[in-house]
Amino acid sequence: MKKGKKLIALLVVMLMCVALFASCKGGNDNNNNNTNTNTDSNTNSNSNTDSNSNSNSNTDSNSNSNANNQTSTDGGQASGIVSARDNLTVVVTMDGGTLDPVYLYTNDIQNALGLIYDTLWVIDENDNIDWRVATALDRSDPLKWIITIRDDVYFENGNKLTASDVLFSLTLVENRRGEPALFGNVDFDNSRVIDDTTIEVCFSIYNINIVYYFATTFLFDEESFDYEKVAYETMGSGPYTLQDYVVNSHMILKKRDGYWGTPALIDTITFRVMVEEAQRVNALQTGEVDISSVPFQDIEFVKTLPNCEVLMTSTTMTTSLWFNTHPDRGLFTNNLDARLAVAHAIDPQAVLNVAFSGYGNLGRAPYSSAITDVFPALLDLGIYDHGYDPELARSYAEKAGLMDKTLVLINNGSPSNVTTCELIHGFMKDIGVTVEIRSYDMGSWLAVVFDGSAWDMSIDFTAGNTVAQALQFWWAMQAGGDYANPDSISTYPGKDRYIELASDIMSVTDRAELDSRYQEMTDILIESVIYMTLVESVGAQAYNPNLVLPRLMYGAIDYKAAYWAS
Amino acid sequence: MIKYVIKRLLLFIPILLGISFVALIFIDMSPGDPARIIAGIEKQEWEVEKIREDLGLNDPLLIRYVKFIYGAVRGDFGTTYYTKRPVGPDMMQRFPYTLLIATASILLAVLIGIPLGIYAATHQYTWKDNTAILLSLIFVSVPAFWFALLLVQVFSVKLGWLPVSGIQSWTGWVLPTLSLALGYAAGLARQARSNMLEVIRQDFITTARAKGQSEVVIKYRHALKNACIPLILVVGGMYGSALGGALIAEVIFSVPGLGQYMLAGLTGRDYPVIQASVLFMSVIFCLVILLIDIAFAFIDPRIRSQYVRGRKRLKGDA
Repeated sequence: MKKGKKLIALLVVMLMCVALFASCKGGNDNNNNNTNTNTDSNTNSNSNTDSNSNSNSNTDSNSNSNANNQTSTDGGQASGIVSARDNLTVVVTMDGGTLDPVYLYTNDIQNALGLIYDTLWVIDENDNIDWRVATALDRSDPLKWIITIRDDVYFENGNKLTASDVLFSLTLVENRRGEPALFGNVDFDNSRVIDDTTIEVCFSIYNINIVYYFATTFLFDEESFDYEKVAYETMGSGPYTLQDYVVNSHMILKKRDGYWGTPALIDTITFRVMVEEAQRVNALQTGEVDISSVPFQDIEFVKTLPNCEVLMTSTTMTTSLWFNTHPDRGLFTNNLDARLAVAHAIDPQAVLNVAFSGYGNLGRAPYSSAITDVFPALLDLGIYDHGYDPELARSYAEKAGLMDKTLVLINNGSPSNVTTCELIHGFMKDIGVTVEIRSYDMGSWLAVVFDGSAWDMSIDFTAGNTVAQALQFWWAMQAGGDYANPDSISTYPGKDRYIELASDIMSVTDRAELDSRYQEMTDILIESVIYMTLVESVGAQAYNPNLVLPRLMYGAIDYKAAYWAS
Repeated sequence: MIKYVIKRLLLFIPILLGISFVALIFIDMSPGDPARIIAGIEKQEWEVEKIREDLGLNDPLLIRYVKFIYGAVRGDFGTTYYTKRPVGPDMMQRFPYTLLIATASILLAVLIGIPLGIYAATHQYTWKDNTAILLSLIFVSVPAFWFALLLVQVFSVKLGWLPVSGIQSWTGWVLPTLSLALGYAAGLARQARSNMLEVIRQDFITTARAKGQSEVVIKYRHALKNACIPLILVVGGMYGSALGGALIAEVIFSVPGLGQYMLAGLTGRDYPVIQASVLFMSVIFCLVILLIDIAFAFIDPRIRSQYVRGRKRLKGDA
């Protein structure tokens, strides 16, 4: 009896040792070298709402739109594609806690809801309008758009989708947001329903972003819309219907019978929330999920998995170093030499290699070169052309009086930003300048960065899906918060000119004029070195190679047309 | 006893008022501006100020406190800044998941930990005792998140028995429960062992032995009963904190409980969520402690006798 107990105890200990050994060994037992597809499509992180068009034709004729529509909706059926599997599991990294599209701030769930609700149109991979509920858009008068919609679209409850529903849905976003206007310059007072399939949308000032805003505005049934229930119930006219939703856990969508367009090819799509990065990799390894984002440090491992391919997607985000030119701080205010000293002291390649595991691109302009309308003349100028030079940096630092100073460098606590700060600390030490790193969580960082007296440099970002938007982002920074102080960014001669050019850049429709503004504003930013792009971000998405995944703009997956090839 | 319970319940009021006020002070002192988070970095200051005004963030601290308490008394904890959903229903939607995982893990911990501790104590200084101590030391020391991921590696990735995460089927509950329970069980085992060792050295145990009671009766009727009394307090404390949100298990295994909700509230500076969560946790903890005290009264004859004596005295006075 005693021997038996001894044996059991020994077995328990042995089991624990085996478990420990197994977990430490990791899962590198698959050596299948799958190819890594690199594309220039942008990720969905910036998709949909905040971009403007660079190829903005004034009128989309009815015939042309219908042709587009036919192409987009008949593709699946016409080719007789049948999905080899009827379910798909997709990882979403966070759940906003609501199904109300107006208050959603997570793109993952926004994309999922795009299967339940229809939109007027979507923007395809090539930045063209792909018609959905709308069949035509007349923009011959930039301040008065005429939108024609289909007359065969029905909601899940059987109600017909009319022009009145479209106007209601557009107005709904504007009215309910409870924060500064989303659509900005839409004049809803004068917008009207012409008939059941036609509406007229008016604008006080033209803004080329609107075509993108409308592409992500979901269409609701005015009659059955319930302000309370919309957070957890859906009533759409899209190809899928909501079967189950548990907040912060999962969302299951079922293919909808009686959908007005071409039916989706996969019966059930499950969106599973996985906040923890390591768990996403584990789920890919076990085959529990078919599509997931992958953290940089795990890309090489995920590539070795037999059921995974990794797609690197460019984004329009950059990691940048900002200089605080607020007069209360003063170190970089009116001190171009100080800014150049830091700019030349940093080796962006090292930042890319260490902080981003080599995944990304070096900064080439004050914005991402992945932006669709960047042209070569805007890239590789000034510090982006001849950046890292410690000797030059030291001489600038001496000239600028930085040698006996301690520079405060802040960041938002994300691992890559913290590492970037540590690297900058080392680079500055090399030229004899001391840097003190202060890492915050995102909420605290946002408060600190607007306190001009609290920091000297910040690891930040630039965003914008077009050059115009990226340039206007910086203009907005100057107009908002402490940056609004007229003296705060007084260090570059072109400041007034920059603000003049940026203020109405979104309403410029002439391509030549737009390009000319891009060049002038970019030159001002590069010469002034107000901030410096270090690394252009990329994303990594792992997916089952048997999946065929058509893409929308910025790399977002068009799940409606997705299917299993085998 | 009823009088005692009512008295304790009334005591909750100043405790909860105090806790919620302290929570508000901490929120107020901590850096971060929800209006700026909502607006984003590129919005202009007047737009941020408008949001601040709409959210009532410009009100003095006391006004905000009174508003919150007034709403809380009526069951209205406000709406979240980001989704505009009412906080009360949001919490209630998530609480069942936390309740389930907390209850299951504590039950499992009790089932594993207490017998293990008792067994170790009754075999003191043997290899069995040493093994039990070693195991409990390991499970107490291992960081919870690492242990949870270790379980996933073994049972999901290597063996393929259980899902990596998610609660779509019952199997999804096994790993989060186990990851929490083993840590708790280890703590309980150590506590049970030390309690048992203390009890078996007491005079009444020696008396029982002298009277010729069998070892089984001495251990499991006399010693165990007394050793378990302090454990109720430990189990209650563990249960209270588990109900407050088993954050790590919830995040790793995608359990949609209160912990994740609170974390999102904290990172987003969603003040109504933070205030309501703190208040809710406090209520739960107070209730658990009250239940423990009542349980003590039923289990421990020394405490029970105080109530009985009080009743007799009251009758005598009359």
